[in-house]
Amino acid sequence: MAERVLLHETGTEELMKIVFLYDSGDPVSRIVHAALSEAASGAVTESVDAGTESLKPCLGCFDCWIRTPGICVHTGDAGASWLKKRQDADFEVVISKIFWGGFSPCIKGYLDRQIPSSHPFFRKVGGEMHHRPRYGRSPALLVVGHGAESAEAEACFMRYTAANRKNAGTASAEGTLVLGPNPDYSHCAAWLARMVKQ
Amino acid sequence: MKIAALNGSPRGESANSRQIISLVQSFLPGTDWIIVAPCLKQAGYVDGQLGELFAADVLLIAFPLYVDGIPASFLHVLERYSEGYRLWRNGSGRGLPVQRVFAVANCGFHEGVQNRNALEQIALFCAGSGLDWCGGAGIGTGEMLRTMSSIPPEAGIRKPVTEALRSVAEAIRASPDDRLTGDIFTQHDIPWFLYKLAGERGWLAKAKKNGVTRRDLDARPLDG
Repeated sequence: MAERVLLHETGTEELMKIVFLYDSGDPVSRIVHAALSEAASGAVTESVDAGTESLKPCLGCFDCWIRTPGICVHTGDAGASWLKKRQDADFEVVISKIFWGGFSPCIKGYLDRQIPSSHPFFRKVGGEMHHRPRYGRSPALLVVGHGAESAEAEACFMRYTAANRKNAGTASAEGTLVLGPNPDYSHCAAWLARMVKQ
Repeated sequence: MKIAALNGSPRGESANSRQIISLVQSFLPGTDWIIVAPCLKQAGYVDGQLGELFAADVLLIAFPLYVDGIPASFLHVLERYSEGYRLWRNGSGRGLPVQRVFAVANCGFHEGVQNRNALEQIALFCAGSGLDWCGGAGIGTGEMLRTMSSIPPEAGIRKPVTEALRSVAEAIRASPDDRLTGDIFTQHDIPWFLYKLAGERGWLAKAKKNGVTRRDLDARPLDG
């Protein structure tokens, strides 16, 4: 039986909250999402499907820092609801095809829209400059990638997603699962259970 | 020599990426340029120009770092470029030299090396598109590219960035099979703490112009 994610390890009875970001237009991502959702059935889960939702791109205007702090100029689209759902979550799980060593364009669109959750001022993380987080707590980032076109692309994806975690203030390199061709999807459930216990 | 430049910033003409293209261009007199900023245009905008872009000897890509990678709006453009270039090579571009590609990424953080993964993504884009990756530069303190534009490029504070872009330009100008020996990572010659101080003061000044106070900057609208 697949491992399941149930409660916080804090000893409280509060249910763990997990938000998934995936693209249903990508068959592997769809299967991974189903496997992880099943594994997390004891937690409170939300899902954002980048393959069906309408998302406006980040304009790089920085109004979310200097005009309406914390709020994007694009209100009411899927990016705004993604921001709220991830802010309420303990974990955000991003499932993506590996695209030139990074996230697929439709998934990256959502990550770009997270800029309102950071603060314009800076701090040092692991010897590098990064933006301060806007909120007292942020969800921990977990990533599942698949379909890397080469070993170089897979290695780039590992470094890239580690940088994402560093940017968010968690210097851990752990938290990215890369699936090879013909993956055993039951590994995804065990991986998620292990990650949320850390 | 014909050089096509893609400005990958959603901020278009007002972007630091546009400033980078202008600086590289200034080191290459006598070359013929086509410069496009396709990110905020309709999806089909760039398609009408692709043939002309593909036929250039060199493609220079300049873009800002968004959340540790290439902006999504520019990823969509590169996806179209990749698909189009492969088709073009099998059609009207058959037999022509493979296009050489250089890239310059910039970020608002102090350390230019934070652009390393984004440049590697461009290298993988080239590998997947049949393009010739020739290397690039990652520039930190990117916001200073525009704010320092009235200061001579040879001034001490600008020199590391100017020299990096000059190296890119020289590799472009050199023989067709020349390339950078490795990616260059640098930033303006300003101490970390001073850049932090100046950057934060800059954000605060811009906020004040919008009637936003220092306290307002800390707003947490999604709490509760």
